[in-house]
Amino acid sequence: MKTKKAVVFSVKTLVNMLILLIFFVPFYWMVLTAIKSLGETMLFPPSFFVKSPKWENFINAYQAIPFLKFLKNSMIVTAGTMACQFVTIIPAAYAFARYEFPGKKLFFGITLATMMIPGQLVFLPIFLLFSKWGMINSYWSLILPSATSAFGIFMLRQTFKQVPEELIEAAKLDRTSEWKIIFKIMLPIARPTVVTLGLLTFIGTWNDYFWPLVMTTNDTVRTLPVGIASLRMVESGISYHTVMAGNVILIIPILIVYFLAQGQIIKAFTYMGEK
Amino acid sequence: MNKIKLVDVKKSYEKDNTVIENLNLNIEEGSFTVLLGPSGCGKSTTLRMIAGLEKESGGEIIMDGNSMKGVEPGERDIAMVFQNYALYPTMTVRENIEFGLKNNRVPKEERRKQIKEIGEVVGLTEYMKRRPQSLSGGQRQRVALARAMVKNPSVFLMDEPLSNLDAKLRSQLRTELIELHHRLKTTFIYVTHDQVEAMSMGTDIVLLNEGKIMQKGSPLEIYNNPANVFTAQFIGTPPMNILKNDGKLLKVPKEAAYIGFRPEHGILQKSDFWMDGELSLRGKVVTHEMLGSEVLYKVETDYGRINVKAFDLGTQFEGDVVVCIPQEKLYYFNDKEERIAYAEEKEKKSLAGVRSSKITRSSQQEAGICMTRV
Repeated sequence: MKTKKAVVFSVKTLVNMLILLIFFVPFYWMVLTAIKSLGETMLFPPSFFVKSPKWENFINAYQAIPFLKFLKNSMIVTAGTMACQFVTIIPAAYAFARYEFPGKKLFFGITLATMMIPGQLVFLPIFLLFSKWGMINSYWSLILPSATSAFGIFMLRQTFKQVPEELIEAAKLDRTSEWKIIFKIMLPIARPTVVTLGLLTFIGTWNDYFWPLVMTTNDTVRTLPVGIASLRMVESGISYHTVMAGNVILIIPILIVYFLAQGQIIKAFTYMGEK
Repeated sequence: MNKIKLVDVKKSYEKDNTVIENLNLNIEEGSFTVLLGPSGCGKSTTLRMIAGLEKESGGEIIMDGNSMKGVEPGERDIAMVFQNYALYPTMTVRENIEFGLKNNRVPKEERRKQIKEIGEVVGLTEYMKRRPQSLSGGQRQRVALARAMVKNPSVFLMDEPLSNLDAKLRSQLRTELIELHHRLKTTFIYVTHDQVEAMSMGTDIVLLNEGKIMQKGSPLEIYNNPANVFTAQFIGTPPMNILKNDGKLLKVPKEAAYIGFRPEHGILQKSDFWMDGELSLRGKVVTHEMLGSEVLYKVETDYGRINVKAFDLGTQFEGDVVVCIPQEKLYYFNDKEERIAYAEEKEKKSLAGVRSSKITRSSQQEAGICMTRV
């Protein structure tokens, strides 16, 4: 019995270690490369440790591109996308969860179906449309394609549906308006889900490389991922160490937000699992 | 004076799913009216229609002489206590109580005063900063009550508010609710499927079945004068014994399709015992349950299994027995299961001079039942 337990424990630990490695190694590799010299990045077999870290890689990355401009663009696009999603997802999710209206199932089905269409498929018509409207190289061209999220609507609808009907009825008896019910009762209950959705949108938009690349033809509204990708375009070949240093800078805000919100994320998913 | 009047109220969810049909009901001002009935009888739906949480499909609800058509729940001067408390989980006890007041734009100072008062009344002063999740079931229900009381409504609606509590707490809160009603003197409408709750708390009971009112009256009236078999069998623990009249019962009115008697009115005797002038049934004791102040016997007879309560704890019956029921304790029902109001019934004789005697077995006795000729 004891041996069996020990075997199970060992296998579990081994699997966990393996999963940890799969997730951790690329991250470690990025940070490691960011502090290597160009020569070290080219070594074969590759080295897994750095004797003398090259911190100046970060300064080089910062100076090689209009970093602050890209950062500003990234912040505007991310904040704009999050604000738009906040405005569109919450009422849609509330309506799908709480109202009965003709075509509800059909509309919800269509909403879910949009999740199955890859962005690469729709970017061309969207590009042509925005081009026609003269919106290329504007913040709107980066914000509007992600102004709503079918996944967000779906997830928030599920959370709203879990809120007992009596709670809303009690609020109605307390003379609460529909908007107040949403903002004072539903959203605080759905806080873990809202935070999780916000974080996913933040990560998705902050890291997005595709849309900023196809919707821009110059640096005016380009975001950090596009800017950092341009770091490798140097005459002497790809300077991996500078690109990786840029990437490390790029993910710092994500890490900060993630560490602040991780409790809520765990809550959001465990809450949904329990129900 | 009528506080609430339901006139021909109908409720149907789909065309062929009518829950309530032509319900007419007057609820007196200051009464503690209990809507009682089995699951799915429409009692909660009726309450929710009064609250405005569900729209009636037909008819009209009148409160204080005004039609409630198109009047929002928040505008009806009512407060409701829900079965699962319906407390806002992200708010503290204080915020829960205060929420309705804020919506009604009660000034801050006034709110503070009212919350303090209500907190003392329901004994929650020290829990004001806590969230509902950290309170016990009883405390949560008190918060729900406080939230309702603080609005000072003219009608309290309660939808099975005690059914999630354990027996001891339920009994305690029952008493508190009765006291609260006495103190506030406002109209209470209380929904329950528990007839003990209804009998102990209500000043009026409205017994519903399949969306129809089976009987309305005071607890005593409903218990002593059930209008039909349904009422007779719904009220009382255990319910009234109902025997189907097979024509072998003497001195039973011809129209009586059913005969009923309360378990406490049956007198258990040994098998060689007989009572003149009473309905006597032969049977066999199946089980006996000691309930403290009484013993409940289940006796198998030719007319089915019947319940008899015996208050003499010293004597225990087993095997063959005779159950005697005084005539004046019998209830008669016609084939539509409605009560027959008989002249004989009205002139009920008292149970004086119970004589015991052995009688010759008649054909009725052979069948297991006997009504002696008087």
